[in-house]
Amino acid sequence: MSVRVVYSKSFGVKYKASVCSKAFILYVVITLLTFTLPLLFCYRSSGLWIKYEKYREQPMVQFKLQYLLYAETSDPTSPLICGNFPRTLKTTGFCSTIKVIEEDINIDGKKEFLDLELRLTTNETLDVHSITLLLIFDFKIQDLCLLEMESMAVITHSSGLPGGRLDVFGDLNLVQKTPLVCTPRKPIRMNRPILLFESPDWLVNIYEEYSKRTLSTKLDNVLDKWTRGRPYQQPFLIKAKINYGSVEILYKPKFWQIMKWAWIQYFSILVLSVFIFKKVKRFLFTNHIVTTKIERSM
Amino acid sequence: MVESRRVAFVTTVALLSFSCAYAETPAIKDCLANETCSVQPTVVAAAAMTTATTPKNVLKTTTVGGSNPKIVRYDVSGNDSKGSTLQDVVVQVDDRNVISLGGDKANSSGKATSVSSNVTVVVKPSVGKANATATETNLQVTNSTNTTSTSTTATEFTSVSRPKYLFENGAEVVRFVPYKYCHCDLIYGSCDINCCCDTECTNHDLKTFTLCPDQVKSTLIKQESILFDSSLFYVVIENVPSDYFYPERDTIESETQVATSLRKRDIFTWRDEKAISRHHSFTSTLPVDSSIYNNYDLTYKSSRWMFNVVSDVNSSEIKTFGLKNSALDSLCSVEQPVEYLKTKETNCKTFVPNLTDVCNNNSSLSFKHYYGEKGLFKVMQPIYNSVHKTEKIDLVTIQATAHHHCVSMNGSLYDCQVGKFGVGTRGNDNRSHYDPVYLGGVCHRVVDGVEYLVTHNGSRGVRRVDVHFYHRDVPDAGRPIYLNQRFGVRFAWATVGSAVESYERSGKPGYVTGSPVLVTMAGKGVVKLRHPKKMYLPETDGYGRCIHSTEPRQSVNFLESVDVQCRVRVRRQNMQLSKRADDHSIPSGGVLFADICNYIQNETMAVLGDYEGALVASLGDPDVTRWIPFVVAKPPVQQSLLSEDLCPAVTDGVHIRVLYSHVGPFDGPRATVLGVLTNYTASAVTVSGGHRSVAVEVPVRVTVVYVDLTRPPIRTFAEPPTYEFRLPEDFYYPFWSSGAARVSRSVHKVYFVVGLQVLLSHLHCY
Repeated sequence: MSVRVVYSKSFGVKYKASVCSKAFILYVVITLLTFTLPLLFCYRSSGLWIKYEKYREQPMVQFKLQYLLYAETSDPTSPLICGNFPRTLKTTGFCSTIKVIEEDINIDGKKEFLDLELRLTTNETLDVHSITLLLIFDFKIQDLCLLEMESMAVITHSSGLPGGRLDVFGDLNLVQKTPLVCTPRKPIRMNRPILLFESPDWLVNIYEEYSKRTLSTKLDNVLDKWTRGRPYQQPFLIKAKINYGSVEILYKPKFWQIMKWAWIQYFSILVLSVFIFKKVKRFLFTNHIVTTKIERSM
Repeated sequence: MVESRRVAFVTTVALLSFSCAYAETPAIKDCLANETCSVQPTVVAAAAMTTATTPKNVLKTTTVGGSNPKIVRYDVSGNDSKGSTLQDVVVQVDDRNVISLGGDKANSSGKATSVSSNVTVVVKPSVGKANATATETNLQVTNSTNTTSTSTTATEFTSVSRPKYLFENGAEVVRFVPYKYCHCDLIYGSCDINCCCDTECTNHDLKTFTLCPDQVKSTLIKQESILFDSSLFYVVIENVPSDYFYPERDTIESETQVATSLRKRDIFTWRDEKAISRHHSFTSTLPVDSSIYNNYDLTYKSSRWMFNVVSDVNSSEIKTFGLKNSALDSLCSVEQPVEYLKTKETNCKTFVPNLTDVCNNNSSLSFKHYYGEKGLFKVMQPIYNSVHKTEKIDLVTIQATAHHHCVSMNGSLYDCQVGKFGVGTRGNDNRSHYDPVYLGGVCHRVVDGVEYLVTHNGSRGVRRVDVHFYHRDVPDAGRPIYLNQRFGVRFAWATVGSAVESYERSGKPGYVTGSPVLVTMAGKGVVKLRHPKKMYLPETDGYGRCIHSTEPRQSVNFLESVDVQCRVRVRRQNMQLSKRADDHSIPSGGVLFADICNYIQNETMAVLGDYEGALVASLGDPDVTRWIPFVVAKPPVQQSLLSEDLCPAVTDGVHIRVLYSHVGPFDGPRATVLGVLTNYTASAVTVSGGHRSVAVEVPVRVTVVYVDLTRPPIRTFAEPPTYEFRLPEDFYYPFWSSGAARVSRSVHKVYFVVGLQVLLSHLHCY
């Protein structure tokens, strides 16, 4: 006749010791270790508290139709400056035509690229040798962090060959020096105008002020082609195509995000720790290495 | 504690025995291959690996343990390569494994390479078995035939079967080391310097050697064979070297084998134009010249369908038809082949070092450069053979028709025939009228653009070729210049009559980005069919002046924000002349200043464009579009003249704002123009100095900005279906009387509106 388990019930064994006993101290130490060791382990292996986090987002970029073109020619006395900016700087060149296409291909409200065509009219005896083009953008991030800023992309090219045309291709990228502190309601605004011509060395000043900013944009992945020779009685032509791709945004995580990641790490080691110290306790107490009073209960 | 220590010991033993097992495998192979190795000898050798520096050592061994397992202690005298003394290499020997324990502490815990050079233990435990594992020290014992050891205690450190060249004088010993593959033996029939395995090296040669660089090779630890990089353990030696090898592959002897072996590989080869064309032609064995002619099919992409006949009378040379194009710089340097039925436009520059020299009919400024001597083209045409009643496609020579268009320096057209310049000796020849001629500092009739108009019949081939030459007059700048030239090929159907005036749509139905915005003038009569026009922008010349030209001007294109600035030059002479022509009542000397202002105003408005009463097409297709009137804002006209030489309000700018929106299905929305706001600005213009100044220049500006008014897309759901449940008539038979049942027939129609509807409408609300 085979015997089957039809009902089971566990016996409990209690190991008791007084507060001032060796066993109790051992118990306290083990309990403390059980919970502090995982914490120490997490902390010492670095990355328990996340200091920053990043995500990707396609920003809302719009060309503000503000630009500044600085061209150096074979005549050193007359660099050409033209553009569309607050009229505090005297223009010496003549940008006859600028054409701008910003297209939103997938109609999600965010422009995908900028197509710019700029014609610089100069005297035909002048050879253009260097081009500096500052383009001012309105840069907005909306997804997780709110950010609105006026930013700049700089195209520079100089050549020993007298040019007739410059083609530039690039991506507008975000440059971050510190992680953003995001607030869901109040956007971070950096709308101080970039093109300021107060100082006499205004271009250096613009660059200097811009490089000081913790948040800025720059042209990345730049490919350019300088075409030699300007056709007779034709303006210098600049064509630029700038992609507004998605950018990586570094931000400071919030309290609960930090706690979530810390807890995930802590808990996964805590499980192991509890398991191991349970085994240790069983070994210690069942083998009577420390003196305890055993109490059995039904 | 004792238990755990034993465990640790066992682990060490296991790990080290694992490392020791390495030496066995190659030795077995060698034995089997050579058939010369002894079955019996059992070798235990422990030595430093750097044979070049270590002199021959006989190791003293002491048996420590009892019978099985034995622990043999070796006293290794001498230095290894690193100079550390080897001491107490304890080897535990059981049937299979030899374990070296301890060794030099510094070395075993040091770098992996130094460990490997220290301990190399070889064992041959089983005696008299057929599958005996003859082992040897790593790469030192070549053939174990002469291994002298007979028991576990006797150890020969360097037992070389044929020790051809062996030097034992001093520390600098270079030994001959035979390998199966001697990697450094690169010169056949001669001794390679510092190659210790080269059999061609003689006794004397080896004396000159300083080191054997290849010997270290075998002891190198492969990166992937290091199990872990703790300071405790290393994998000392490659344990199973035969596990790491490149497998053999079958030889490839047929083309199908090539294809199968390359199937899933990305193979990049050098581009071979001929290999591509082989796909089309049937005969690849033909010589190059004839293969060109065999390569004609009028497929859309086929590039060789038309040939220029650049011929003399005797030998008609034929080349592929192409348009001049720029390669890297902007100069016309390459010919771009024209693809059939594909409109192509190129733009390049000609460098003109001196205009007087090249202003003749031999240079690239002459139209003959692009036309050939007789204007002959060879084109593809199907030829019907009446005898065989067959049709084949072949080359047919076609005489192209040349058309000349001449533009003078100020941009106006003139008849090239009338403006005969330099008609001299060859005046009788008609064609010479179109040659460039240098006259009075101006090079007349320089080719500015060439346009080939090919009339075709689709697959029936080319019917007619028209060549349009656009000439212009270029003034001599007195310095080297770049001249822009444009080339183009257009294709036209031969069958289409030109009765209906065709125009280009700007998208169907919505606007396509970059296509011109269509406008029309509000006519009274025609409402149904309006002929769409473009909004033209002023064109600037090299000096920033506005050009009045009839050439294709730049237009306002959809989504293209534009800012154009130029200066309108109004000649004072013109003002007065026009005045005189208009009004005869006023005395000839006095011209009303208001009229001059009006004249300037008219000139600027001609450049800017008057959009009063204009209509804009909401969609790119004029057939289905709605015509929306422009909203025009003009500054108030100031009549009062403040001073004698100041026009108070001359319109000098127009700022156009195009409001558009995407409308329609989410997947393919139509870009629709909702309205156009044109804002004219005016400012005062000084007409200075009475009769002294020749001309007045008024800077004008046209800007176009697009404003997106697209609303966020709306998702609408279809009405959920109404389910109708009909219960059998007698379902509630005992509860309802027969009289009520008739009434309840309609009641039984339970209209069941699903909860989904409620849910959807709820969602829709948010």
